[in-house]
Amino acid sequence: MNKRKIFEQRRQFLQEMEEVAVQKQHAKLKLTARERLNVLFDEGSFFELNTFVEPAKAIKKTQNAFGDGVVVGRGLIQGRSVFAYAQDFTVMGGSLGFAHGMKIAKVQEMALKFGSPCVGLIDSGGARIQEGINSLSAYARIFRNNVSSSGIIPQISVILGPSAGGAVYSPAMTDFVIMTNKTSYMFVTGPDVVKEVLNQNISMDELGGGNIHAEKSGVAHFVFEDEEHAIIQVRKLLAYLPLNNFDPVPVSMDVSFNAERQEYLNKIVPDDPNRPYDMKEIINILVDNNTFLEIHEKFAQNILVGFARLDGKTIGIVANQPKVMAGTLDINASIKGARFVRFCDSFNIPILVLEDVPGFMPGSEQEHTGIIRNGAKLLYAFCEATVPRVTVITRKAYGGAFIVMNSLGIGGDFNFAWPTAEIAVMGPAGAIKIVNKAELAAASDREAVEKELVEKYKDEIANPFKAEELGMIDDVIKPSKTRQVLITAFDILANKQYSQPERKHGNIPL
Amino acid sequence: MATSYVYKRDATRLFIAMRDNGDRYKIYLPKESKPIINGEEKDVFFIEHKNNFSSFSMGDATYRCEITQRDQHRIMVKVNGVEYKFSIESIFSYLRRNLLNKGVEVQAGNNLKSPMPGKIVDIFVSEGDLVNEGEPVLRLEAMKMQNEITACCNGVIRKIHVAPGQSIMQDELLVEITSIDE
Amino acid sequence: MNKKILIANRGEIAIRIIRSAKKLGLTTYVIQGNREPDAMYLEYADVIIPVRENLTGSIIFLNPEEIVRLALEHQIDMIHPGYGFLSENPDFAALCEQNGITFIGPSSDLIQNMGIKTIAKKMAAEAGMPLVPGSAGAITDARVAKEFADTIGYPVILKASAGGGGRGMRIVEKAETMERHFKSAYDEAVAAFGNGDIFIEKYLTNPKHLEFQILGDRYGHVIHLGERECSLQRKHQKLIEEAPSASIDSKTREQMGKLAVKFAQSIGYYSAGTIEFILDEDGSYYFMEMNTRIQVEHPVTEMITGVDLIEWQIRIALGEKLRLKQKEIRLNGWAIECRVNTEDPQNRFTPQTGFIERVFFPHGDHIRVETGVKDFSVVTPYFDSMIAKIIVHGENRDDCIDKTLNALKEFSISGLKTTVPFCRTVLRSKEFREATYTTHWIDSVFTTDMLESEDEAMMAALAATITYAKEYLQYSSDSPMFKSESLNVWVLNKRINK
Repeated sequence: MNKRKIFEQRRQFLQEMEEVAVQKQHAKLKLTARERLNVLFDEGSFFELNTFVEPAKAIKKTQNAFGDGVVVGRGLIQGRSVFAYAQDFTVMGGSLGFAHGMKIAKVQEMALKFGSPCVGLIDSGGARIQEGINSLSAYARIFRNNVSSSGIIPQISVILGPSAGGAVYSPAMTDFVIMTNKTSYMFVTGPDVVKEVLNQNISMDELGGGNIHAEKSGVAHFVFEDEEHAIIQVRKLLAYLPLNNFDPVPVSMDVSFNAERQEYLNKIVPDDPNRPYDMKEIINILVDNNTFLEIHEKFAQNILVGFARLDGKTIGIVANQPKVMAGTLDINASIKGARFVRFCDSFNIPILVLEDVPGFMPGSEQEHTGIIRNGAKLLYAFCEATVPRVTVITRKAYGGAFIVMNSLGIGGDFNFAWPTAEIAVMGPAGAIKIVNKAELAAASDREAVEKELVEKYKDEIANPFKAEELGMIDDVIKPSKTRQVLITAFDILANKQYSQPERKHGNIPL
Repeated sequence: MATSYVYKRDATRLFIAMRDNGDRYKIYLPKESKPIINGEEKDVFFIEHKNNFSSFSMGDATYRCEITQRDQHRIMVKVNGVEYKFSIESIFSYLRRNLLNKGVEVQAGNNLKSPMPGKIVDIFVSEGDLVNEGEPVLRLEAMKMQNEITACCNGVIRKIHVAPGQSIMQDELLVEITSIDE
Repeated sequence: MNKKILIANRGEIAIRIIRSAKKLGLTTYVIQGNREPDAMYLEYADVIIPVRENLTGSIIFLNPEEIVRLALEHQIDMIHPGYGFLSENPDFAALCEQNGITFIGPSSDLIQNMGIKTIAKKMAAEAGMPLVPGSAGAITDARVAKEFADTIGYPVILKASAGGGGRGMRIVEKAETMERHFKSAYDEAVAAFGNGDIFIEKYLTNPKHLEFQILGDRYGHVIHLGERECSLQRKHQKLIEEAPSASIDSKTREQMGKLAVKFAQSIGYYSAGTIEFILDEDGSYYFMEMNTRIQVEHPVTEMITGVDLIEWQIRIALGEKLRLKQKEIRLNGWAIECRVNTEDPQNRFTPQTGFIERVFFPHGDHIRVETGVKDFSVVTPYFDSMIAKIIVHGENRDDCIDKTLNALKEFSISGLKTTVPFCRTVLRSKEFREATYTTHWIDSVFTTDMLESEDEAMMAALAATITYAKEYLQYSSDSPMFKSESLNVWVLNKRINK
């Protein structure tokens, strides 16, 4: 065997494989595995590992199967070290054989050992049937690594093709899932089996396409029209995150914010308590310019979660959205919020809560599907979190929802309120019907008396200044000064360190 | 390389801004000179970018553009009270989509063939480079004369089939270019 | 004069009236409703009367009894109703008269008569005004309608006698469709005004709208102050007005002016008023209707005559004699007014509501701006979408058009879209420059891509691309993105030694 020739031969094989891959993938409006990694990493920084591993089970050499259908390695994203694997659909349909699976497991373990984030670019037909249970054991190892790394290094999955059957569980356990619309799918059981067993006709897209998971199931945190944007999103996301749970959050050099628009905050909340406004506008004014990265944008739109920067430092934001369902909390919103809070807590990212919540969503649909259990998840997540957490109440804060949204009682560090805030056990309309029942029954002009009582209630009970006097909140602040107050607050809390008592782990209601 | 060529090598700086009404703007943003829009260098001065406003001046007029909406690659800009909606693509995604729209499989491209037998002396470009129409792409020597082979169109070098020192025949395929002209 | 005037209106006209009232030394009162508690007009008045409105009920400015009650409570001497709202409501005028409050406008009888089109036309005809060939009285029957239409010739237009705004109106091209159109016009009129009386007129296919401004005192002296052309309309709403009109010569102006004055005198009209004419393609003119209030577009007349119409309205209401003589009225130069509505011309003029973040109006010697908004003003869905008027004066029509285009270019607003780009498009058009435009310009000529300009589109593309490229390009920049900061020792210790 002429060893010198092998280098040349290999280089040629790789080139041929890439050419074939380019043709096949581009025809489907997709990128090849290596092209995707080029988009992901800083130019020229990708260092590939185990490029020439052969498939575990010998297959007919009808094609070159170097790498066994997955490209793995380490690269730099904005100068920071990140590990990644990209499955190659053009090699045996990207199917996961033993060697393929071991390559993935290897980068996961290296990422964990070296404290670097791990990114998976998924595009696979699933387990390789020819290799039988060996491929399943490879999956098992991958899942275990997902869990061992969970909460220690950020894990991001980008689904760029099919991901079916057992394979979906790995992305499901990672921190963020990004999908593309119309070219990626996730489902446990495919349409063929669904047709066979349930006699239901449904396409791949309708069963588990990008939009379905972004809007209905909440499995996908982001969905994009094309691959490049999906992959660049990973770069955007990592710019906010620490490399591991010991690493401090990255601090940006650019701290510009819109000074002129701070005044606008004084007018955003309408006088009429029944008129909605867009909480996103408030977020965009408070944080550094254009730094709000919304997560789970299309799922449970009655709550907003995402990262932003305040004075250059990353914070996590959880905010009610009065524009959707009046900002009430329901099952999906509670789950969305809880997962995000727990992620921020794992990685020491301070949390800002913007509150305008009239309560939990009523009704049998919610009750029967378990609003009790699921609402409790958000409460548990906040109670458990030991990161700095600050709340600003912009308007309503009633009852149980007031407690859940990071009140002082459950360990919130600061609670501020705007003058438009209404903090009470119940909204005025409902409260006066109970407290002033006798008075209302006796009244001749019930409507006028009701109006009067509502006003009185707002002045005496739901009044934020009263709440401040009673020590229920820390301060009533002028909306245009909020940004300054928050920067100071988070600065004070910067070195907060607090640990929960020793135990294996709590029992969050699931 | 003659200085009259507008496109520099870096294809990653070429974008296509498209509107619903079919208008297309091919915009090339060189690092240190003026932007090139639809093949012409435009005398645009960038004034400032503040909050969501970008101000430019061209000739005597100043344009204050407000980015009113942004959703991935779809951006809405308001100038003087009138809104324009754009969809921005990088040259790579644009070419990928365009190829499919034309219904032609990937083999389509503009081919530079050798006009005579000879030997490749020098290749001036790499795959992925952006070239101008008429720009020399490689030099070949034949019958003791040096011949420059120039690009047939504005485009991106898709594939180089030859190497320096290689002997080639007449009509042999030298370079494939994917055109960016309509 | 130590008299109190209540302005029963809002927005730019309230500010305008306050300005003239202050000139006369009056104490100005305005009403503050809770739909617009922070409105700009409140800052200009001497006294604000707060009113607690039911947000689902009627607007205070449409409530005659309540306004009069407040006026009596505050010992108001006179009320100016502005335009719109109750300005042409004869009951309101009567209520003021009965309670000893001077209503700044004509008498309630005059308002009433001029408010019913059939009566107005009859009185106009008696004064020698030419009328559009049409039915003298109301028609309640389709057959009679057909017969009548045959005599004056098609096309004809059916109009509701009791109201306007396009309701109860139908254009009938030929006899076969008369019955169908008559029935639907009738039904619509009954639904909208409670009165199904229809009258028929000859329909002018490409008409121009001219209106003459008149001023009269209580002693019978009436003058006219020239005309305004308001042919640029959209769904019968005016968008651009100019004074004088390029569609008539000075001889015709004299004729029409004389007729207008004669008519006003014949009915004993006093205060400010406007007589509307409709011009046919062959130059013949006909009386349309009379408006008994001050109009939105009055500033263009003021710009070319130098007369303060609202000041004179107040003086006349106080019993003064109108000291202006007809021969003293000179029309100097040209004026154009552009209405700034918060409507999106790129999207079928859909009204916009919300916050005005920053608004910048043009200014200059020949520019006059009347506005009711400033930075951070709220535009609510409860009121009209007109937030301002930009009026420009020039030496002649061409000069005026050029100066107006320059003024509009200086206008900028962020937060809402307005009709200003539309006004610019109109003023740039050939039809406007040549004064050949008619009321149908918007429907027949205007398309939304006329709002665009090639250079602006290109700059917009550039701005969009640079915004996108900044994120997309993976070039390595010289300045690092992140600061290097190490973890605080206290924190590190705590994390390691749990």
